[in-house]
Amino acid sequence: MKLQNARGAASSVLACGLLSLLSACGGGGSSSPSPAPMPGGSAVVSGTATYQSVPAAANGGLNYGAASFKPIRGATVQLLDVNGAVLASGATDGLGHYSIALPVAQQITVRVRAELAASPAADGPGFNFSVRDNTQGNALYVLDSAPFVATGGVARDLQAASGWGGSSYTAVRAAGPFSILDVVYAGTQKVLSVVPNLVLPTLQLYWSANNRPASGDPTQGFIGTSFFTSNAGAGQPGLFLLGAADVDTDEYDTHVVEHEFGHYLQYALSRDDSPGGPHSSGDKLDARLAFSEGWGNAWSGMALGGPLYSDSDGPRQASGFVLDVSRAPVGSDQGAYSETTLQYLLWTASQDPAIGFTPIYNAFVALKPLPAFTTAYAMSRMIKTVSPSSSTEVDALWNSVGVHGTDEYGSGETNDGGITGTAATLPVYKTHPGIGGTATYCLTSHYNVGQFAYKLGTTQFIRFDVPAAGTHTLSVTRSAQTTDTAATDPDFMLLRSDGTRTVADTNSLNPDGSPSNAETLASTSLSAGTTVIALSDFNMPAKSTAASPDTLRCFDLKVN
Amino acid sequence: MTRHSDVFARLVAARFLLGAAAAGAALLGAQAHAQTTQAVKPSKPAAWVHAPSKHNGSGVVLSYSVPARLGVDSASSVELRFSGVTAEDAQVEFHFSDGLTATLADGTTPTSQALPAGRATTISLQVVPHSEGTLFINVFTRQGGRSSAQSVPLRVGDTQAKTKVKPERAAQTTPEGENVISLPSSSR
Repeated sequence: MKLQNARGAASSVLACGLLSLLSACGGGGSSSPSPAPMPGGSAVVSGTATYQSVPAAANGGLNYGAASFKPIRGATVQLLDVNGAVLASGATDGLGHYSIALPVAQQITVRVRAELAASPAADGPGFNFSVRDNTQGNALYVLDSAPFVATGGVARDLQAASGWGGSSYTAVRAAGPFSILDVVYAGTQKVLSVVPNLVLPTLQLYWSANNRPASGDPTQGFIGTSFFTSNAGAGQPGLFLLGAADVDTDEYDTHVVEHEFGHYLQYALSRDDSPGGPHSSGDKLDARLAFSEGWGNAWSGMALGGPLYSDSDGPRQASGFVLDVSRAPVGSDQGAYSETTLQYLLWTASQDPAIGFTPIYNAFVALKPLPAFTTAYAMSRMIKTVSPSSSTEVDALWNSVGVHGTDEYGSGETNDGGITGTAATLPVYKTHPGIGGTATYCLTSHYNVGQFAYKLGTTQFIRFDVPAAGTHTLSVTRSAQTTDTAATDPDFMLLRSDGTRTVADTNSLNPDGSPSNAETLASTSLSAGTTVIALSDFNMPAKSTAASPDTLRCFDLKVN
Repeated sequence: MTRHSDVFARLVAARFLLGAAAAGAALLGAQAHAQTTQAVKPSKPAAWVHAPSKHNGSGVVLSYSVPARLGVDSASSVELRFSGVTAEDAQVEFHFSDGLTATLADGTTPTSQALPAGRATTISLQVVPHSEGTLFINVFTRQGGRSSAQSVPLRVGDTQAKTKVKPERAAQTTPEGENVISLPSSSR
């Protein structure tokens, strides 16, 4: 057996482990192998690494009584000497097996890193995902065996236990990072099933038992909620996950983790135009937000092989909820503004033999250069583009849940979501007069109850044609049609015909600090073709109740 | 200056701070409380903060107003406001950190209560922390079959000193210079 020294030889083994769900890749078999001793006092260390998985109960809470050990798949494995230096490395395969040659028999520790890694190669994938503690300098979680003398063929299994003591956590929660890692493994396998040599940007996932749902300093565990961010520091993406026992933990809420990994994939492979912010079931949302969150929910089902999304919380993690992404939305929850609609559409399409996951994936990737915002309309258009044979099925499915647009701009949509008049939601994209033209667009707080959020009506989508590439200035100023006197703060997202995007969201203040009620993007390059804008108001007031009067905010857009 | 292009920035509560004046107007009906211990004047006026919301959660919007600093064994007023209640089954449940006691205006300990649909509800608490550091009011809301958990942090004592996170396992540095947290394998 060829020696795999330190880190250098690891990548091919790691990739092999990830790509081989069922086949042996240095490991093999259904039980821990015991290789024959190597001559010259060397050794082969092998075994199986597992973590304790805690499933969801029917109410979405965790069912510790049904916990079981599952393989740690695709993780980096190291053999360490007595000083902790790396002697050799490899990876677990799809069954959690590993087998690593050691040139000289000696006392070692086996270390399983909470890391999936594959160095990009000509014919293989490339990625690096790791689970770290944001409250301890982003340290990497590792699972260590007790030290032992490795000689000849020696088997050493490793187990990461949950630490659950029957009514509370009474021991180290070692399984948490590996449960998270396995969700990422499943998601990675799913995308590699379509593109085996996919190369993805590095992602660090941050989990700590101190991570709780409170605003503040993430290094103290105040992460707010589980979320993905494209910039967790130094421009690197990051995924933060809750871990506070008896409050809200997500390490075993596999669909929650996969949902956030879905946001990472949208960042890495597609384009996410969502403005973010609060949202929940039944909300009528900005169509970009509805798509992003609906994708996350549906993706979690696709990657994990089931439509039931559960999320635990509360004392002993015994409470929670379950949502079924295969359940069709009803009534006013049908529309491109509904994340329930989007999760249903994407899940159902992925399971439909006439459509399937591959067109979903290819359309998802094809959204990236599309000069239309990432919405249900754009996704429909791109599925039909990458898989013309599924067009009839796609149209029927989309129409069945109140999404009627015929192209990526929602042309022909008849579902207004209940907003007509000055701030009408239809047409989905308003047509601007073009270069040199000025027009007024109005937003409404109609569905903006309780707190600011990007709801249906708080954003207007606008499109115009650029006849030739050039430099232009776009300005948005408060219009007299605005119905209240408070300061406005217009913002807009500009999407060019080549798919590149610029967000204009300064604080809209004059030099003296007074509100300018305006936003300008000066001398920006526009490519020829269709350009679109999403216009919103950062200061759009929230209504205290749904019955409270609506606020109308209107703005003049000028393109020079 | 870019202000809120990034998802992470969107999630921080600073974005959702409400003006203290508006908050005061909303709280005109807030009830006074019998105090069993000496009240502490907040170090600065308490602003209203929107608690971050989890995706797919209850949809109930929690805002809170707490003193910037609380004193050990001293009573302070905390206001919790719930909006975005659209279903008839909405309710809130409270759990408190060890070392923190709380009472409602009638002197009872808050556990759970229904939230009426179609209007905002403000719940006033008198809290008494019994130790320094950061303590939490853990708020669980349920509506329409969904749930959310949110922690309201209460900083007790010297707020200049950064609260030290208590790690499950201390980080170590490997010979290669990498920081790791060694978790023990439970296998033999």
